[in-house]
Amino acid sequence: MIGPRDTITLARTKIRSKRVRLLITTIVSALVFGVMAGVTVLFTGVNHSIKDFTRQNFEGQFLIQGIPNPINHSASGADIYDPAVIAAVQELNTAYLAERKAAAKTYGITDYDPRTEAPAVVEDNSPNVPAEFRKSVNTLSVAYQRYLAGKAKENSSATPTLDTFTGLVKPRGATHIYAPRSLAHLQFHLLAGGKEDLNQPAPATQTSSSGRSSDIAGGNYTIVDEALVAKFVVGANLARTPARGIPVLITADDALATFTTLNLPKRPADSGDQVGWFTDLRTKVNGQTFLTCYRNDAEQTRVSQARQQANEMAANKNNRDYVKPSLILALPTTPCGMVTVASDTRTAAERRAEENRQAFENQFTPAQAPLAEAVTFQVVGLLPSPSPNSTGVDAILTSMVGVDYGLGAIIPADSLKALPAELRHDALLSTAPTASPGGVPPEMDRRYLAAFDNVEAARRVVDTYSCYTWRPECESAPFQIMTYGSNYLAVDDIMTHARPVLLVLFGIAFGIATIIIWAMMGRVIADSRRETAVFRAIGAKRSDIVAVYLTYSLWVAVRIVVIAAVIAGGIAVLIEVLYAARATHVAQLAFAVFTPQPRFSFVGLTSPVLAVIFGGIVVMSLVAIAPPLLRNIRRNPIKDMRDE
Amino acid sequence: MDQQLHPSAADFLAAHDGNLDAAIAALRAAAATTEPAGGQPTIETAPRHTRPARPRSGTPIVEVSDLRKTYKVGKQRVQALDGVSLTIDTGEFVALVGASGSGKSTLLQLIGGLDKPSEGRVVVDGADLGRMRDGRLSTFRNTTIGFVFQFFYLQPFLQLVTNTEVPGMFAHTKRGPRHARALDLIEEVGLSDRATHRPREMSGGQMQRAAIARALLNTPKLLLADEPTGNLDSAAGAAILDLFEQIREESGTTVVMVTHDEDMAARADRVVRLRDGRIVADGAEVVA
Repeated sequence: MIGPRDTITLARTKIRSKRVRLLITTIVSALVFGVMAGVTVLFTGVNHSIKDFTRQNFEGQFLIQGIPNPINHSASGADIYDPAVIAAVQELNTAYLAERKAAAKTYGITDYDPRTEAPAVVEDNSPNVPAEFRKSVNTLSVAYQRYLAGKAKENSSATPTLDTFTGLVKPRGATHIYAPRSLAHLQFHLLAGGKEDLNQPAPATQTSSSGRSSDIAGGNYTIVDEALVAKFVVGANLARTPARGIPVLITADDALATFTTLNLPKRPADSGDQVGWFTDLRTKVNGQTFLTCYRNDAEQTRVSQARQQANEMAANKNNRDYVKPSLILALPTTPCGMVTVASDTRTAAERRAEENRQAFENQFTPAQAPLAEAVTFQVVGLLPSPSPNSTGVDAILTSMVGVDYGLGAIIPADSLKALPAELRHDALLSTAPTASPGGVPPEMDRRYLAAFDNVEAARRVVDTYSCYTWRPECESAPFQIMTYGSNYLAVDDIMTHARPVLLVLFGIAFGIATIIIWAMMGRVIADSRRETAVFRAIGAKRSDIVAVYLTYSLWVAVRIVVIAAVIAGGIAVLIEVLYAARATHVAQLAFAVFTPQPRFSFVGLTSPVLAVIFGGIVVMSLVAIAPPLLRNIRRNPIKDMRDE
Repeated sequence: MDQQLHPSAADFLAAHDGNLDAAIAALRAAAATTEPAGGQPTIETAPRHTRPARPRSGTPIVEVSDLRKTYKVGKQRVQALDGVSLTIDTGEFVALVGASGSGKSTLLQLIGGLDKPSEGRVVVDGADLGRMRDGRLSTFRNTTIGFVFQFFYLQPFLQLVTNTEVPGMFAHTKRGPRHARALDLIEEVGLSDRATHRPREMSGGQMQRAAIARALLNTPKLLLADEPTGNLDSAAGAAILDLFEQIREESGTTVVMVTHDEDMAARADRVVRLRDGRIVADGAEVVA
């Protein structure tokens, strides 16, 4: 067979013929493949960068979180339109009303009227409501709560617990398991500037200056294992010695909203400047304290009563006919103080009637002693704080990094334990949450975390237990499991969800490029029939002709690969030059990782998809030339010479 | 082996005291008065020889016997060759002459092994081409036969010297000797100053000489030329014929040339005339 150098010499003559057609084919194909490869390089780069930051962020750990699956837990709800459920609730309601009537009789409450109780079943007879949905259970009724409580008791063994979670993730390679404990039920109320004005009702929604929901203002605190958040705790220094409150990690925006008197620097607009701002802010707020107040429901009720009485009396100040209440409550005069009795002119009969009413209610709802407790928190560090108000590219980068710890203000557990007893508020912090009427039971409102030392192990657990769309197996899963902390699987997730679309798009692009190359190759071969005939006449074997044209095809493919690689590299490098530094800053803020490494890079060359794309070009070019070439060498050379 | 004349032709020549010119003159006169039987000519005018016939070597390099070739054109079958038998000796310069469609090019291509006959046999240099597999036939063409085409068919993007080397590429000839041989041949055909030029920078005559150099690279025993002067002016055509004669004289290469130009054919040692797929005259011999 013809030698390689001579093959290349003859193949080169083909490259130099039909130049315009070849150029257009090469550029169009290279553009299509180049964009595909460029997107792949970008995705791979972003994926690797996020994983690098995640690894650095949690000391090489990849975290997942498990939330008890509410789908299969009957305590989380029932079909309120189900006639069987309605019948059961009605039956419970009948029993409840009988108990209430009996108790009222016992305590001598003569004015008890069962019609004042919340109905167990409600009806909506609007003509536009289908018949089967007209009758439903009232989820706020006591009977329904009793129904749910009964179901929860029946299913208590099915309630997923920490042990369930441990049994699930340990065999799959989890190295650590964390059980953050939320204190959100305590509803710590921030006393701005250490003062409290109970005459002013609290705003319905409390947000930080940035517009983001404030963890501190919203009373959203969580006790978290120290190991998980130790990275964010600023080293102990004079500012925190001696300790003056419960250690807490807050966001930069919460720090700005809380310590308004410190004249803290505002978040700069540029993400590059935000890194320096963040470290400066962390130093400035380290050791600062803020005061909060806890009031239990009983004390909250008394505060409301006192405020209502005060308003009522103020409104009737000049009304001679107005009769003041016999028991007047006074709002506290100190921050987080207790409501006091200003005057009590009740008669003995009134006192007895009130005591009977209390005893009557206590029979159905356990009594709670009023409690108000001031709690001081001391900032020991800042949590990662991606800019919530970023716009444009920063917003895209921020959402791409997607860091969200979702735990509010974090209390590191070991630091809490090390506090002096008088600062710890042990009794208060150990108060267990209770279920609100119609709400999710506390045991279902937990979140468990598991750490893995490699992303693949984490991914396997997430892939096994994630239910992005409902499937039958979702119902039997004890937990809904997802990544925690950052979107280190985000790109994988995007690829998973977008894969069908991308496959179609890649397929169409591949198809177009293939058709173009096939058409070009077919035309080149057709135009070369006479040349093939001449080569055959002067002694070329069929294998020689095949070698020349396959070399030509390979040459074309290599040119497309090279140009596609240049386009892909160009796209990636352009994005890298324009946005890598900015993305690094965004990621540093989002992950609170301020070391020189890792850097955020958009260039990732390790994806097997790249090999598929570039290999596909070569294979497709060779395949494209095969049919016309085989037809050509089987032709009678004389016919082709005669046709000229 | 001496070729035997047809008995009637021999008698006719003897009747003119062996004087060929006198015999030809008589034949021309007869041709003017003889009606063709059944519409087919029975006598062909003899060729005009401007140079004396060269004695034949008697060693056949091409032996064609009872060759038939049928083409299918649409639903019709076309008999391109109809029982052609021909022997060409080593060192001969033979011109195949005939009108368009007479079968001369088909005969040349069958001799060159580019096509398979429908019937009959082609033996070149002792090898029966019909019995050869495609690969061996290609090698045989590459080493034993040189082709020259009317339209030259040079590679437009290769220099003349590289164009000349192409048959050597298929013969696995080493690059150094191949290049040297190509340069020698280019000098031989008078194109030394054009060795690095590309075909588009050359005239038609120069391109044909280049094509001849290419055909000679592997030192073929047989040179087949299909209308080599058909695309050239008369001066350039004459120069090509000079070159064929020179090649034949210097290397003893057998030259078989297809032409419809009587003047060019007259330069050959022997003129074989074809009509309707049959040989109607072979040299001085007239075939009935």
